Amino acid sequence: MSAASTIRKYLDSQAPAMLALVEELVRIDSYAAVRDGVDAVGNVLCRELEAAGYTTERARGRRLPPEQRWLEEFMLPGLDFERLADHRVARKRGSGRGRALILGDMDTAFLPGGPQRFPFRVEGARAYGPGIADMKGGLTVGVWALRALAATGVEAPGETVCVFSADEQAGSLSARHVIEPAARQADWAFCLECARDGGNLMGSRAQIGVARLDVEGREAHAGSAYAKGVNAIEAIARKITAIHALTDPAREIFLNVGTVSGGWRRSVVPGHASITIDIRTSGPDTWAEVEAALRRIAARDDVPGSKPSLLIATHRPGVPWTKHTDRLIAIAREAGGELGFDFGVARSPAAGSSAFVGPLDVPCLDGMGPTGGGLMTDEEHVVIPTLTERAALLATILHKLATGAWQ
Amino acid sequence: MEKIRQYLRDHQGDMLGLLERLVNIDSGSYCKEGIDRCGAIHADELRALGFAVETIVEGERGNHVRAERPGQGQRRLFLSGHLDTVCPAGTVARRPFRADGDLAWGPGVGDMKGGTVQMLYALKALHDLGRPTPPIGVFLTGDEELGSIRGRPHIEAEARRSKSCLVMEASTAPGVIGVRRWGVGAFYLTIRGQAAHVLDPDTPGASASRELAFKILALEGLSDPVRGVKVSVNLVRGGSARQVTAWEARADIDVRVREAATMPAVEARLRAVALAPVVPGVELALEGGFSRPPMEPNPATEAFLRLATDVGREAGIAVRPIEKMGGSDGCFTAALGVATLDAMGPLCHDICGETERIEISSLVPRTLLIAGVIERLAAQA
Repeated sequence: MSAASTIRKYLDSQAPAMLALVEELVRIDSYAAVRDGVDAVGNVLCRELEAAGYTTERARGRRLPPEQRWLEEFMLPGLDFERLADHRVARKRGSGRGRALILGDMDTAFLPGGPQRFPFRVEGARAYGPGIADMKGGLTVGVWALRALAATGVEAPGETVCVFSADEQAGSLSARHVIEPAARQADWAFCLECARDGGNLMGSRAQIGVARLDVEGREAHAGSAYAKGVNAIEAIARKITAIHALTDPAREIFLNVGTVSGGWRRSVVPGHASITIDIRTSGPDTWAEVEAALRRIAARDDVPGSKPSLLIATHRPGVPWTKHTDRLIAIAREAGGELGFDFGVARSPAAGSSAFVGPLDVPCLDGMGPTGGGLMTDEEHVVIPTLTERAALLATILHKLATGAWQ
Repeated sequence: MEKIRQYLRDHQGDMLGLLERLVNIDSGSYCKEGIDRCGAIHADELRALGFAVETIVEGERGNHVRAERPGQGQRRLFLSGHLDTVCPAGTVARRPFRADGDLAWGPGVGDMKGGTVQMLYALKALHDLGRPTPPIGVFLTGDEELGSIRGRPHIEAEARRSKSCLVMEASTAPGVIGVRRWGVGAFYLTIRGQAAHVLDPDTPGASASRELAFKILALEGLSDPVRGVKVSVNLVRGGSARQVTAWEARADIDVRVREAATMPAVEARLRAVALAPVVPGVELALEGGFSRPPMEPNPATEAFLRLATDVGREAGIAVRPIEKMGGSDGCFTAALGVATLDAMGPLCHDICGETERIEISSLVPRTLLIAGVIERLAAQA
């Protein structure tokens, strides 16, 4: 029997245990700000991996330097970064070649109380629950892929390291400091985000950043002193239309002015207005271009006397699609072929923990988790049969890499 | 005239003392407790001058104070003022009353605590000097800066019983009296977009923030200086998170019109522009309307202005009629045909701004003008 068949057979026999692990994880309330919940997810993951011979440890990230602290407040308003749960690192040596890095996230986007409002349930071939696709289903796939390698005794990479982040939904500002050192030691990285439409993997990730643009005007009574005022809202409106016009889907440039606020009462010329902007670009070159354009728009003298100030930062450098990506995709396709299924590979403009391995030139595949949908809504779900399929795919890819497929 | 002037000079320190007490009470339109305290101070002062005083209690917003005193002749005078300011709670702690040279600073020092203090001292001077006064009604509303929504019926009732009206809003130059004000509209636009994560290809979303930007520019574009129309968007809120297409945005729109005749056309254009979507998929709703008609001079106002000009001449003050873009409660009284003179208060700079301040030396002449007009009305048939 081939290694792929052995792995698949073992995982098929463990399907109920996998669904039970998904349920256990989904029932834990693990919004990034819920420290105990994220910690409980970490405990479950470590328990499962220790059963497969992994050693586990806790890790802390670092605070950003003071000049970048605004990003922390920006990512998760009101969250005290000192109170984040620990990140978790699990590692195990194997007999094969190379070093593999597995990336997963323990926090979800669901505000506290998610599991009470939207409890875990199974309907037909789908399982529903908060964070099940992003990414408790993926965590289950990762854990069981590694358990399958251990249980079947097929050859595994020389070292497999897992980094589970506690703050992915809050920008990974802290986890970045744990992911990057681990990635520097790795030959390949795999991230457990759920698969996109039709089971697609992700071969690249956009560079992502945020900006906050403030305009100071001058307050004045709208009736008695109108001419003395400088209307900050008018200035920012001109900037919003210019910023939206920078979006260019063909070049993978996406800008969204998410929030707008300005003024404090109808009868007073607004002395302040502010917007927040989400920025995604295909890579560093387009990022530089967009940043320059934003700085130009910010500095433009839309309303005489108004003073703009722009804060801009990129917090996820992204993953470029390289020839190494193509090689890894070829190996993944071969593994899929042996397991009896095929998939596409997409370019993703979304955020993820894999975004930090790109600049380190580590070949990376993302979307290793189960097929999922309805992310961040009360329809969030995974397709149950894809839990075992994806675990088998990841385990088979790791086995192939361990046995020289990369060379 | 000279006796009144001397009385006021002798009492300028008391005026400033009362002004300091009032300014140092936070009485922004939403600070009910502070407005009510200011109202109680005015009520006590008016009672001491022989007025029958009534406090009109409001639930959420500031109370109003109504006062009445009989007098000579048939020309009942309405003295109109307000107790609230535009300054939010906490402003007093940040910048309390301060007198420095000829300037007195603080929240509401001009709009209009200085004005109501002048009204009280004009009445006090006439009272203490035994001068005749006409029948007088006083109404101090608790919500002028919110458009006098609650105070308006009382103001209009006072106006209907009166022949003339003085409004205690601040002035902007020596000798000025307000005879024309622009009407004020408050409109509220709600934009419903469609939320979507910026990356969700199945749900393109409809950005309420983007629609808002277009609307701000289009609405402000309705301003027409020649026709006397000013439209400005002075408060906006929209969106929930940077990476989610804004599903809702709101804009509070301030509209000023010079002439009552243009109001229907301005409102129609405003609705047409506000309710036409630019971004596909957004829905728009507009609420609100004109809260104050323009104050336009009527024949009674012309006559009243001549009377005030005569008083000014006697007092050595060159009276000059002016026009202001800001609305006041005088808009309601003038619209009812009552002779209305506005901006009788002290000379004020940066009204409603961070550096709002009055010229202390304007207190005596401005109060003298008020007192002189009141006395003159008593002598009229």
